[in-house]
Amino acid sequence: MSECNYLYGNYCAEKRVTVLSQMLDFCGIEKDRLRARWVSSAEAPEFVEEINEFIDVLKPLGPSPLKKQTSKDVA
Amino acid sequence: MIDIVRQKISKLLSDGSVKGVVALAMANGHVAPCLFQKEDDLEPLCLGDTKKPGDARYPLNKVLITIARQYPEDVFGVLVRGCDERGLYVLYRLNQLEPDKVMTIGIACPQELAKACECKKPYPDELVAGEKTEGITQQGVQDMEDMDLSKRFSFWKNQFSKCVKCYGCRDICPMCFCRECSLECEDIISKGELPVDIPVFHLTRAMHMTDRCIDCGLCDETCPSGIPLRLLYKKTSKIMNAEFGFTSGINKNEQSPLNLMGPAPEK
Amino acid sequence: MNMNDLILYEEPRIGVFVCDCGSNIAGHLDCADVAEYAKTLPNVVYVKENLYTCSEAGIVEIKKAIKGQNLNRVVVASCSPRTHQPLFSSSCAEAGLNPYLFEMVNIRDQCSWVHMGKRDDATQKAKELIRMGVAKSAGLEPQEEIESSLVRKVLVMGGGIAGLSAAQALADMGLDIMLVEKTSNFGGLLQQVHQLDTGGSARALLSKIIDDVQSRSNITCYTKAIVKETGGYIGNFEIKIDTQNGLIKDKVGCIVVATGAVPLIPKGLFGYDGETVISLMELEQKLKKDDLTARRIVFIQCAGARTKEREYCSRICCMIGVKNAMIVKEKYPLIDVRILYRDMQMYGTHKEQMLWDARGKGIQFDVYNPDNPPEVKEGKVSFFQSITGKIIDLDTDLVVLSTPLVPRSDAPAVANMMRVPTDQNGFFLEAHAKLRPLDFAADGIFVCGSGRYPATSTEARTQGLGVASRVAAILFKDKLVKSAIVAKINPESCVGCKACLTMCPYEAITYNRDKRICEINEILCKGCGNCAATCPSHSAQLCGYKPEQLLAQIGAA
Ligand SMILES: Cc1cc2nc3c(=O)[nH]c(=O)nc-3n(C[C@H](O)[C@H](O)[C@H](O)COP(=O)(O)OP(=O)(O)OC[C@H]3O[C@@H](n4cnc5c(N)ncnc54)[C@H](O)[C@@H]3O)c2cc1C
Ligand code: SF4
Ligand code: SF4
Ligand code: SF4
Ligand code: SF4
Ligand code: SF4
Repeated sequence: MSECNYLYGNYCAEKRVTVLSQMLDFCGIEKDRLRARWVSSAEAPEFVEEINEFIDVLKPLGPSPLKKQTSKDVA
Repeated sequence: MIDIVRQKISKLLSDGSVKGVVALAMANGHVAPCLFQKEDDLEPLCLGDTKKPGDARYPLNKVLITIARQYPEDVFGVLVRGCDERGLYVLYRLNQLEPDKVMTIGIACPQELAKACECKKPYPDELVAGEKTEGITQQGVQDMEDMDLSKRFSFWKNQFSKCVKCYGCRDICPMCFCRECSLECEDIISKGELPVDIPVFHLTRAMHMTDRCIDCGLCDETCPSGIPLRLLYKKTSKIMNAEFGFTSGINKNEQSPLNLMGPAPEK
Repeated sequence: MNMNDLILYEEPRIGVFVCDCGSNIAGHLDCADVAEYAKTLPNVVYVKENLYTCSEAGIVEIKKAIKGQNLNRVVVASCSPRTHQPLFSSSCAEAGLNPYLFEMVNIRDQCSWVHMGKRDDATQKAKELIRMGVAKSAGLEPQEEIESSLVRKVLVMGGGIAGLSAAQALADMGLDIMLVEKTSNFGGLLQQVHQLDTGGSARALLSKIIDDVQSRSNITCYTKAIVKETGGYIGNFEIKIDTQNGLIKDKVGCIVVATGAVPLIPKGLFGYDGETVISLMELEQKLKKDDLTARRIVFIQCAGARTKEREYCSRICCMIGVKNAMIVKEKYPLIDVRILYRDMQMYGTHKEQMLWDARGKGIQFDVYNPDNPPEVKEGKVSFFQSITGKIIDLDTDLVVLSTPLVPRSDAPAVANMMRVPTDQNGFFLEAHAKLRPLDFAADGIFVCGSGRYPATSTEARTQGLGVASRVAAILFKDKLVKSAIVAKINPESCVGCKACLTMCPYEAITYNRDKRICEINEILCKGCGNCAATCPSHSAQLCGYKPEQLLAQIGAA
């Protein structure tokens, strides 16, 4: 985390993500749908692993409940 | 209580320590914000109690900001309850008001009002009139958290869909002072369309309130659709407290952890 | 209105160049198909697939298309912007297109390399990435680069070997230098060192360099002087120096921090008393004065280093310990010398060889366990010898503690004044350990020597020379040209809440009391975007990364 090219940006982002994920949860949206990870451009394998892991988490959750319902609302 | 307040205001005006005092006035059976400038003109002064205590509150700080922007060199007084004073602290932090240009006339809220607000601190630090009563422990957020995820989802979805995008919550909020508002940014929120973008509209505002909301409840009172907005922001405050040990408006010289560089402070 | 403004009102005419990167990209996805797809995207008027877009031929192709097809946006889908963005955007500039109307899409590192063996998926993803890039490019705006003047003068803080070396090299290049040393003498820590590990006396090495530095007409030396204040920015720093002859104000273009470090005084460790239990530095003094009377010497390495309160390895004390053990052994072969260590940090072939030579000279090495450290008591050192599993008692008349270099007590004050960071150990923190080891993140300020991390004199000198070339690369330009990727604050909508100000890591933002808004100094701004992400009213925005540009990109995903 302390390797941000611009010094602190990632810490600042992390704090906001912390709040947002709990707010999503409070509103009934699985907080696992939001994820922030820091992978440097030199860490290709880590990046692939992160994304694959995220996909594994997302798949069982299915499409966003909001997406489904808004399209139903429109129909 | 009102007599003590009236005396205090009269004194501030007569000894010239303030140029005016922003408080409430009763006229034609209605309560409205008013700038009192003469000490012998305090007859219509009221504290916003009509049927119940504090049932006619106004964001007086917001009125004060507008006045202070016009007269930056002058000192003004303002009538504050606990939440209003918290609001002032946040507004000092966000540079919208200057502490040495504001004098407060603090009044305590009765137990009844505090209960209805679930207010943590129903009195200002600097109290002029009224009796301090105990803060209330918050229950509403916990109750919501105890519901299961899908219940919470349908609850908020139903609530949010009632929104008519009147922007009343923003306009009344003493902590909202931007000249350009994210809620009107068309790249995020479609203009003139209903239903409102769920949950983007309400969560955007909640995220903007995380380190600001001082839990005054005016948004909640204002919302024509009866959306429990205050509950939403009570949750952000709870997160801020649990994660960063921060409560907005509790401390005169506070710094928001979101606006500090570097990692979150050690708990 | 100039040409660039017109582009804002013209319909975007986008050219897309898809690069095969030899087989790096084309080997894992179908570039021809991707190119075909790009033709169907809105506002795209020209698409070309190249074997190597970065080759001479590829560049000519871009330039030709800009002119021939009247392109006003260029998108290259290829490798990493880190390495190739400058090439492509400057090529656009050469063809008369504002370089900020160029957008790069990484379909190699972020696509072909991560999806090897999944050709169809990779092709699909490349298309989507390009769609996003094209969407963003349509909203790009031309930017003017920011220029400012330069003062060809350098401030060097600290007259140890690092600072002296930097001053020497900068003077060789013809720049003016102000060399500021806090004490009354130049030379730093090395003045107290007896002999160097590389042979020869430290004094001799120093005298040569100091004499040279003092004889230069373009180096102004200040001793017993201290830098009081620094302000301004790269090319135009304003400094105040407290000297023996009063306060001096001046302007310099760059600043070099070479303030060194100090050896830890091991108070309270291993019975340290400065007489029979001494530090390495005190041993150097004894050797200098030639008053060594001990017959049995035990060195204890890592004394006060790699502990809970000081977790780091000072990296040079092993070498210094071994160096001194060898000097002792050479001069007094009958003295019994033992070194108790945790791990030997003898990096590099030269030091590795020293270790072998030391063993050859009969110096004994024993490992100790930090959980069960040696005990020093009344002329005895006892330690647990793990090979034999026994407690060994050594009779000794001198214990030498190898202590680490620690940051100077005033390092935080210096860091504060310069607004540069320190690491968790209190040493100055460079911008990037590998890519920019001598730079601070703030432009125009550099660091060398053991203030950055414990270094040998050779390393400190090399770093000093390296810093000189970093400085020269800036100060020998005609003027300072800065990327236009900076943030701007809209004075109409800013409410002066100062949220951006507290978030800017480069102190580029100031509050204008009269206008009651915040303002950004373009030269100081590094374009990190913190302010833009923080501003509740979108008043602070990062050029080239405005919300509408990013949202267009996200929308196209
Ligand atoms: C016991 C011992 C033995 C050593 N033996 C060897 C050896 O054999 N071979 C070898 O290569 N290296 C050896 N070294 C390491 C060597 O001393 C360092 O590599 C060298 O001193 C680093 O130089 P420097 O210029 O970075 O810092 P320093 O030598 O510490 O110089 C820093 C200078 O900056 C000045 N200064 C500090 N703060 C300020 C300020 N705010 N303003 C102005 N001036 C300031 C200081 O007064 C000092 O003169 C040894 C070190 C020790 C402790
Ligand atoms: S309770 Fe509502 S009106 Fe009051 S500060 Fe919070 S968001 Fe604003
Ligand atoms: S909701 Fe956000 S953007 Fe809108 S006025 Fe309030 S703080 Fe400002
Ligand atoms: S006050 Fe209520 S209805 Fe109006 S915009 Fe806010 S949430 Fe929606
Ligand atoms: S972009 Fe970053 S460096 Fe520039 S002003 Fe904003 S916060 Fe500071
Ligand atoms: S955060 Fe935005 S509104 Fe606040 S001072 Fe900075 S630019 Fe102005």
